[in-house]
Amino acid sequence: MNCQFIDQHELVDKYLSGRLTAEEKAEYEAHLLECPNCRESMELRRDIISGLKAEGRRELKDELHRQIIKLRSENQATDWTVLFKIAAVIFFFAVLPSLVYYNFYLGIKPDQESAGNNLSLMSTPDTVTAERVMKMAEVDKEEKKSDEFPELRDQFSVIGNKSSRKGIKAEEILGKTLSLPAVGAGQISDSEENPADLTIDTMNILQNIASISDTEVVLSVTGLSVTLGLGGGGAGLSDSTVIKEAGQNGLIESPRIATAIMYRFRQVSDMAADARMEREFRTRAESQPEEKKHYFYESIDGNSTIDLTLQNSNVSRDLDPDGRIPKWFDVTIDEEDSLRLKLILNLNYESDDYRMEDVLIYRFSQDSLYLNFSDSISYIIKLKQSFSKAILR
Amino acid sequence: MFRFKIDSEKQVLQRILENDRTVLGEIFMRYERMISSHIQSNGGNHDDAEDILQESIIVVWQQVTSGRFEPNARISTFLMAVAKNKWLAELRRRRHLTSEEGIVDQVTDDPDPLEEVMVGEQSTQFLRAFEQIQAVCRQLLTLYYFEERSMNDIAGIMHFANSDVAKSKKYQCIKALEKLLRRREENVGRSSE
Repeated sequence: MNCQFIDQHELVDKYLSGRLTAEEKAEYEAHLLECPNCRESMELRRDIISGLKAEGRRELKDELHRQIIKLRSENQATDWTVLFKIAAVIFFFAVLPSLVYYNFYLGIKPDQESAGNNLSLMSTPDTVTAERVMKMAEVDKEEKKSDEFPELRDQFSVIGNKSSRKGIKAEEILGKTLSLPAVGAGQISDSEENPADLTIDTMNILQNIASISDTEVVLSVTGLSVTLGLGGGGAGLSDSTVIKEAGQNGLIESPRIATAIMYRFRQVSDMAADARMEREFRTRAESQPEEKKHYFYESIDGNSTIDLTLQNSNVSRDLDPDGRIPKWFDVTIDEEDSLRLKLILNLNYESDDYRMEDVLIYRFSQDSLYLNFSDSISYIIKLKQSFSKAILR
Repeated sequence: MFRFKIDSEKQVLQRILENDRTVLGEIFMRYERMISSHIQSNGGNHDDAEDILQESIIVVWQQVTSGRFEPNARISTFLMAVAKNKWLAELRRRRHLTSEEGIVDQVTDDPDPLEEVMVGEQSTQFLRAFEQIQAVCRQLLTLYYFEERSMNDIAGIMHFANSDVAKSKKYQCIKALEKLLRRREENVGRSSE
């Protein structure tokens, strides 16, 4: 072994990274003892490698740090945008409908009002009763089922409640566009005496998947419906509020804040598949007696359904038969209390990428849960009473 | 219009292999809550959790680039294991520092001030020389010695024709760096005389 051989065969690197055989190592070390040049070269190379490692590490850490700052500032920016857009939603769907209501439904003219004709909605002869509103809602629900969501990508148009009461002119607000969907309910005060006479009971924002690939899901808003009610709680509709999906970076910071902006994340764009899924689950749910601890529940928007079976502490579910996001998963309850269940999941992404995920489930309201999968996908699901009783004591 | 990136772990691994450093922040955001909850429920605070996660991500990066990461392993599991170990080591270090015995050890373990100056000087010399070589050499040497990538990977990342070109370029780069450092050592030697 000589200096040239060492250089040609990169023995210094191999020696320093422990890639020499015992024999080669012994031979190389023997050479080092008698060759000060090679010894100096080896020491210099050792210092260089050590410097390169420190520098590489520092550079990578700096890059990571820059990205954290960037991603966090983007999230903050999004939050501000969200707040701004909430205000826009409130304006269009609380203030605007109230003006429409005043002008077209009650026929109150500003001069009449100023003349002292202070009419209470509850006392209006033409007031629609709570029962009628509920019937209309059922009709509306039927209509929605058969409704194909129009392909109105990037557009936030008001579908309106087709069965809305006379005087609520959906077409007045049809075509208004908003850049962000939001959901919420609120009250519109039409007089000081009856602050809750007119309520927005539900506001449904419909979204669709604009495109989906292996790496990205793009959501677009396709419609919105608003249901108005009279007389506070009497006319409330309970089952039509939409919801879901926070982004990867957690737009829903606190699932316990009911006013958080929420997005529905539809995993299948094929409505026919949705319908099939719904039928399948309904049939299955109906065929399973309660005592078998088989539960059916659905997302608040009614499009996503989850089938759940309790077997001791093991739960298996079918989440989405079309399987773009986890097709099914096994759940083992790891920790349980009245407000929060921590579950460990085995998710099957219908590929060889079989993985364990942590999911956090929070109680979102009396009858709904918030699920968050590995901080990336969130669902809010409305529970059937049986499940509510079974798990959420 | 909202965009949600849903990268599977395999895609994340692929991005690391392709030297797509934008994945670093995404890994951090993805596993922040998981690691943070572990650290904070084991005596650490938010800052500790961030530090540990950053360190752990760098370990994951190196493991993947060097080919030591088991392809079927899960990043989250590995990251959690690294973070747990790092946090345990940190806790041990802190306990050591606060214990009476630790203080004695710490005193005896203190480096010689002269040695510290020499190490600092050596590091400065290295950085100056490193900055003087070509940018392509800086990247190549970092990919080879820090990330321990194969010559094939390096050729792909740096758009060399093949691994032989990468190998030959690496040889030139390391020699250039050695030459600069030797020259600097000589200059330092002369000025001290």
